[in-house]
Amino acid sequence: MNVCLLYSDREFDWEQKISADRHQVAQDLNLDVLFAAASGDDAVLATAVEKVMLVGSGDPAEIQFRQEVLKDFMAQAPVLSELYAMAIEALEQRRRAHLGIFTRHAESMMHEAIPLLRMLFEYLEKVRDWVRAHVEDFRSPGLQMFGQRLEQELDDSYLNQVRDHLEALAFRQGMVFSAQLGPGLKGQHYVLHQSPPAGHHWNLNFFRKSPETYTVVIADRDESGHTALGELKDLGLARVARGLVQAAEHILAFFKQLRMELGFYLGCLKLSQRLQEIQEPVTFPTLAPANERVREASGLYDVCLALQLNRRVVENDWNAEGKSLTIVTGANQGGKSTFLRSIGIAQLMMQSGMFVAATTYHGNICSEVFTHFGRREDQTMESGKLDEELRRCASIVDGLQKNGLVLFNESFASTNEREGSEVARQITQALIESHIQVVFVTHLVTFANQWQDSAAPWVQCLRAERRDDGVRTFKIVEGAPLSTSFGRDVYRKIFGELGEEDPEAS
Amino acid sequence: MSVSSILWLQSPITVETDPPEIFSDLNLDAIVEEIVVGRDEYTLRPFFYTSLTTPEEVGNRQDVMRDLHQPAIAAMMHLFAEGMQTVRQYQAHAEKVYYQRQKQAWFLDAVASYVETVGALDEALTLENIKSEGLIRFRESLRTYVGSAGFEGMRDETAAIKADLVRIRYGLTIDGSVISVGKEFDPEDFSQDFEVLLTRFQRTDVQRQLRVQDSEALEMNHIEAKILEQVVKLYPEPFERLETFCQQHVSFFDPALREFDRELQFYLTYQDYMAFFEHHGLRFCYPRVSALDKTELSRDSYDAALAHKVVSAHGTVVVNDFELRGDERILVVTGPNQGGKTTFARWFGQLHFLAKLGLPVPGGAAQLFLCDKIFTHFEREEDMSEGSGKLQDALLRMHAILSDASADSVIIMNEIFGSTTLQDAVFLTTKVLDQVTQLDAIAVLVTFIDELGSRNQKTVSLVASVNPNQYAQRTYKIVRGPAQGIAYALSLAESYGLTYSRIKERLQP
Repeated sequence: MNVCLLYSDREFDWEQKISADRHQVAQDLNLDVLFAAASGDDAVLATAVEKVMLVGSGDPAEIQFRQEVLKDFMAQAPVLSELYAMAIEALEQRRRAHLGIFTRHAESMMHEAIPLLRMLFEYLEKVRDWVRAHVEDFRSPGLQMFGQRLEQELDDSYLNQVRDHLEALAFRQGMVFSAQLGPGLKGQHYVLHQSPPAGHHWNLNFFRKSPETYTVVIADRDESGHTALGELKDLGLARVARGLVQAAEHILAFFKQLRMELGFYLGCLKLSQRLQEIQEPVTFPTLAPANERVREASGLYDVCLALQLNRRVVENDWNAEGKSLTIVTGANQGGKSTFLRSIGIAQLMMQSGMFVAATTYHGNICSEVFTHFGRREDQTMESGKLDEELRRCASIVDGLQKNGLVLFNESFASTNEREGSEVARQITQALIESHIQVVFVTHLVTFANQWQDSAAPWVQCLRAERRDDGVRTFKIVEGAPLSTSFGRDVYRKIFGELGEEDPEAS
Repeated sequence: MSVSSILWLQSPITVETDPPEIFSDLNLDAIVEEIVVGRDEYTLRPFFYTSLTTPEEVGNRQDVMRDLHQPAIAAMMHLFAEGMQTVRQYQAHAEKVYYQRQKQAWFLDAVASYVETVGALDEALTLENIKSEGLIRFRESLRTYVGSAGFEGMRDETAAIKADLVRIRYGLTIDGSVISVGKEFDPEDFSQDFEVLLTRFQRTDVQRQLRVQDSEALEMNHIEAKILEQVVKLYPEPFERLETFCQQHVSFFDPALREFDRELQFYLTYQDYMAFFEHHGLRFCYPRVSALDKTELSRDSYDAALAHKVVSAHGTVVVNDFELRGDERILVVTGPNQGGKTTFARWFGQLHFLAKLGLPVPGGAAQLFLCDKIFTHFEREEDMSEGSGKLQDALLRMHAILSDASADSVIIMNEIFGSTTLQDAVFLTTKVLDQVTQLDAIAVLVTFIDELGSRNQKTVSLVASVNPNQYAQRTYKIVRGPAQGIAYALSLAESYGLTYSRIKERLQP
């Protein structure tokens, strides 16, 4: 029995490894802030949202599948919370049953597993009944199919059959095994047989065709004999005991899966509530195929920054239809990095099936998102810096496929301008020609101007807006790179006024 | 049965019981320990301590190894060795257990494994195309042994008794402290019914798998023994036959096969060792050896001890070549620290020693001189004395080597006079070099003194090179000629495969 609330045909794999590059993306985009906001006080929610976001999906059908489920749950928030609570309660049964400290002894394993199984089946029934009561309010295929599966797999006659079997394992009539001689003439291949019904003498029944039997009686004082008998029973019961424990483990795994998959949606719900509190909008994005180059956003903002500052932040409108390369230049601390982050975060939110942080959003799917952010704080260790940057970049190229997206932030600034520009140009050119989309925030003037001068239709040049009086608005607008802009503002801030207005800056 | 050795041309031979002195300098001890690991029962180390002296002996082992390298023959020999291990294991069980009937059962299993293993080898060998004399002689004597009446009789009786025992099936009922044992039983399996019922909850993401364990203990407890006695009452005949069989076949294991099994391991364990490298793209080859021709050559070779470590840590192994042409005898190696010089010296010695064992050596191709002896002079770390005492010790060792060595020796010297002043070192090293030149021995001299490479027509200058495209990065390549080093951002990018053309190649759909 499967949960299948994140994919229509399979369960989400929570154990899958997230690549180092993906963790780098999360770190560069500051996603921990988003995960924390989604968790409330339940760390599991943060984990669920984190995993789903970092794994992502490149399939529009899957993304829509999740959007539908999320819309249902956003309309029925209490139903979601109640189901989530049931899953947690069921999981707590395990702790009560001490299932974690199973001994090797089959008999004691059974004593622990049987009551636990009874309890778990009660919770399964509870979940089925709760979903049954609300299934009519659900519009999404995901939740409707979930309800159907519960009805099919947990019909009443099946549940009764399970109860009967659990009852039979009390062995009120003694135990009946058969065996063969194994290596060293020790008994092996023990098989457990059904005990005869109450009132029948089992011995007559069991050996009915050949009455020749020999009997071994263990004396009351023979302690080691009784230990040996216990071991013998354990051998005979091993298989059924294992079956019971495995069944319990599997049902618990079902509840764990249920908790995690519901956890993603509950996390999204909490995140949207938090954003609502600070009057930030969210919207469900519309999707374009991966091979198109479309991004049309209004009111796009860096959700992590908003959560961190706990208020509304700068919003940008961005239209990049037909653009494979976006070059962003302009003043330091002018909002370039924030803009770059908002692009990356929106892409990951969209591809997890979540809403995005914007007023409206339409964009193409990417096969993969990578970030390559310059590490300014490392600049003291000058010698190895370019080496380190290139190593990270090589790792990104290794993981890239067609229709991936790479976000560069101040990359290759650790060597001189001319060399850095040439390295950046070659990499960017090759990526674009290999059908990769690139957004490149840069101070490398030679590099930026080359693209501006190329006037290629698929290139877009943006600039951090700075008004004529030198004040930065933190907005990103269309505009060619300015060759002397970088550093001047900061210089002025630190060293005071330049004395005269820079003619090239206006 | 009598079988001649597959290791030696003349037997019996006296084998060395202690490792040669050069073992630790050349890291041969690490190599041999890695080769014999897990095979203590065969006592193989002496085989690896005892080197051969004639090209004929080397050829003999290379021939046997070539035969054993054919996949079909290797597979059957592995099966044979495993089978023999099983026999010994079951014999040990029979020794160990307490109850008489259990002893008999394990003895029967030991004999069953023995006849099966020996018979299978005989059958398989007749089908294979064997070329080495050693294995051809073995095949003939095995044929005779397996065809003998004694062996055949033992085989048939073993099979008959085993078949009877396997057929026995009995029922057990347990009620309180009373156990009843009988023949017939109700065939329905209750556990299985229940498992079927619960399959709809089967999931693939549950990691923990509980195993059903039959008791692991070798010994029976007294309750099991009592139950067995009841089973014997139910089915008496096979147990009587078993008892007679055990009395009749006490010494079933042929001593000649035992020795063959051990000698075989010398080859098989080395094959496993080679396979580890070959699995990671590193090659082994049969060296051409000569006791006359002192020109040498090795291609794409490596220090096996180091490579084993590097590969185990998922690193990349650097392969190297060397060559001695015409009058060239002495390789003088210079270059930066940590550039692979010492590795080169060890590797050179390893190649010569492994060739003297008649074994394949690391690399794609090799031609080696079959030297009479290998000498090494490495700085001794454990030597606590400083200054003149240390230098004196080094000179004493050098003197001993030069008096023992002949024109047919290989001498490996690694930073021999590192403990003295440059002036002294130049003087002493030059003296030693001249003596080795005069001796006409093959030698490696690792030194920081640059000018020695062009000392005379017998010396060849080798340099641990530096990557021209990277910031002083070592390549661990030892090449003829001088090094060079220069770096630019682009060439650094190139080294990461981040130029335009390299990225385009990598991202080809």
